[in-house]
Amino acid sequence: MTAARELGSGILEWSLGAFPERAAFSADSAEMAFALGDGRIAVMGVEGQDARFFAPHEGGSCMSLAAHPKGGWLSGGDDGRLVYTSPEGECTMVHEVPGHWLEVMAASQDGGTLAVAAGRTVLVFDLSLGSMTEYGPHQGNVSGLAFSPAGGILAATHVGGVSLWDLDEPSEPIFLELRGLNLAPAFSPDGNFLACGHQENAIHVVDLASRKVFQLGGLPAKPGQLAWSLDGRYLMHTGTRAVVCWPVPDCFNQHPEPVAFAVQEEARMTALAANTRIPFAAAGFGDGTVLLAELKRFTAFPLGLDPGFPVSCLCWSGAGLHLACGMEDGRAALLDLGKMLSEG
Amino acid sequence: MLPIPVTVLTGYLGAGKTTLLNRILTQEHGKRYAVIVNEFGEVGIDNELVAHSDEEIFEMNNGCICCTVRGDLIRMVGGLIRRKGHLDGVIIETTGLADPAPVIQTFFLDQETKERTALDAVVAVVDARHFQGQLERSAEAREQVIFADAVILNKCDLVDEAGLEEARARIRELNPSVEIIPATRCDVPLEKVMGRRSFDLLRLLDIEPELLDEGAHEHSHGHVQSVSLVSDKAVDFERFKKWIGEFLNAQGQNVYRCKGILHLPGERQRLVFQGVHMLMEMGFGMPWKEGEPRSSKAVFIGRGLDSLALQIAFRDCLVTS
Repeated sequence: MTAARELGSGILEWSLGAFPERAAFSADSAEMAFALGDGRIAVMGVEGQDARFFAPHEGGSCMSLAAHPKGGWLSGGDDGRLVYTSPEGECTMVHEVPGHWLEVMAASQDGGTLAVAAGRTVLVFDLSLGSMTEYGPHQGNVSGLAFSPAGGILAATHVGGVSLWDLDEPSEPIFLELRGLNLAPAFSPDGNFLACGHQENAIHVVDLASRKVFQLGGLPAKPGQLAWSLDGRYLMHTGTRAVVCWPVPDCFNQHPEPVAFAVQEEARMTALAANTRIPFAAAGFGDGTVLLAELKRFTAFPLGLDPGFPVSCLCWSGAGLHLACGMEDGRAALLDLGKMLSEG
Repeated sequence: MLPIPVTVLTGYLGAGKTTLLNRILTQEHGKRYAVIVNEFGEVGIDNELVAHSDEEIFEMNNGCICCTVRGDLIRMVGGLIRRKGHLDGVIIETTGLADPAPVIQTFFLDQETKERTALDAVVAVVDARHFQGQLERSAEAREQVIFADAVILNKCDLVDEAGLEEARARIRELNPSVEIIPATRCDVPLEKVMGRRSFDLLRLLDIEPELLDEGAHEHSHGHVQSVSLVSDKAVDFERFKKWIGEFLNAQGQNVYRCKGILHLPGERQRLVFQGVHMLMEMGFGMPWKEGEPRSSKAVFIGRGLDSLALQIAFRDCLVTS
């Protein structure tokens, strides 16, 4: 058990003692959890309760995490196990794929469907039915997963392209050819566009109706995480030294002009999460800075966190009021947006 | 946080990589290493993390074939970084038939991987008895030695003195700057393999100061050759940077490795550079000692290198006054 420390108005911090790899909020937004590099998960209440630790992947590393819609957590590890941890902390193995790292995971917006990559295949779990379907094999190991906003399509990125699976007709995927190693697929909020990053410092935005592709190369670093603004007009990605918003669909015209603000001289963005309720995005940087970016006026202000270590993960609660932040040195922070705004 | 050291272990089929790996993993050294292998299930390694990997070589969008890297490797090394504090190092064992270049390039190409890891050394295991034959059959056997910082010349008990010399000579032809460590059943001290910090070349020069002999010379075997450039003059850094950039842009696909130490005017520290194909890294290394003669040295290993042109270009970068 680890107690929280208050850093400022509406900001709490915990010390978790291990690399926080992913953050997730519970289905009711009352708790947040972090997947840790030492195989544990840490769970804290948004009221600032002590952190509780459970060990679903003992001896290994916990690499992916999602909330179970009925409470508790689902996590994947480098032990090849998908584990359910109940709200009380009891760990039960759901599935095992020996020899594979269950690192890439995505949940549908309602949390009812969970997809996990195991090498070239993707396992999709219907959590209400308790059933599992296999999709694949893909051309290469699956490097990213995303559900469409309505939940009917699953995008899986891999070497050479993106496979779009219709979950109601899991026979053959629609294949979008994009050379290179594709990462981090992200559907626009209206589901009309799919964006993905590339290992080769590029991003692609695909207009799913016309299959037109906007290609942006020569980025300063790998865009490993992508996020859309709430209104779907802007695409953001990590790897930049500022918050950079690419206009969509204007980017399909000749010379799209991105909006760049909150320039960081010393660090590039390492983590990114857009709020799904308000036009805000959280951007974490390599020097430990976490910015709250306001996507209407394009302004940003930093949270009062101790700098020094890269931000490894960010996640907004489903209700949009809380932000979970993980830092590589094993710290976790929670922003209570309501509290911060009301207390100034 | 300090970067995690990474050792790349390479060697042709049957040379003894697995024996070496098992030695490293079973010795009482109190260290925790993670192992990444290409072929899952090839060897049984107890109590160790063995990550599964499918071969993944992909072309960059610009189609540059020499800039292929392994996406999986980046993913796995990234995964291991999360265990920082619990790991003393990462060993990447390449398959016996693999060209180690894409593995090495990963540590230059991917910014995150580069920031969080330190490529410690590339160690190649060579079968003293069969090396000659393997060289004739396989380009990979050659490349493994070319890219190595250290070669473990294994199975020395199976060859006579002449055979051993022959193997040494072959290795030297491919990579004149490599440290050769004779072994039987890979019985080499652990510190010869792990924590060498030899990828930065400096330690190698400490061990074998004569490896870059005075004057330029050239070896060749098949298509692979090496060109060494040495001068006791200082180098004009701006001119050198411009030249090497242009040279690698134009000829990088032919340059398997390049490395060197430069003496810059008025600079207390050595400037160290090393590259793989078109990629190159520069940084300041150890300071020159008081009264130590300063010199500038560079080695290029590749195919189709124009030794004379390299010498002229290098001379043009020297400070003349």
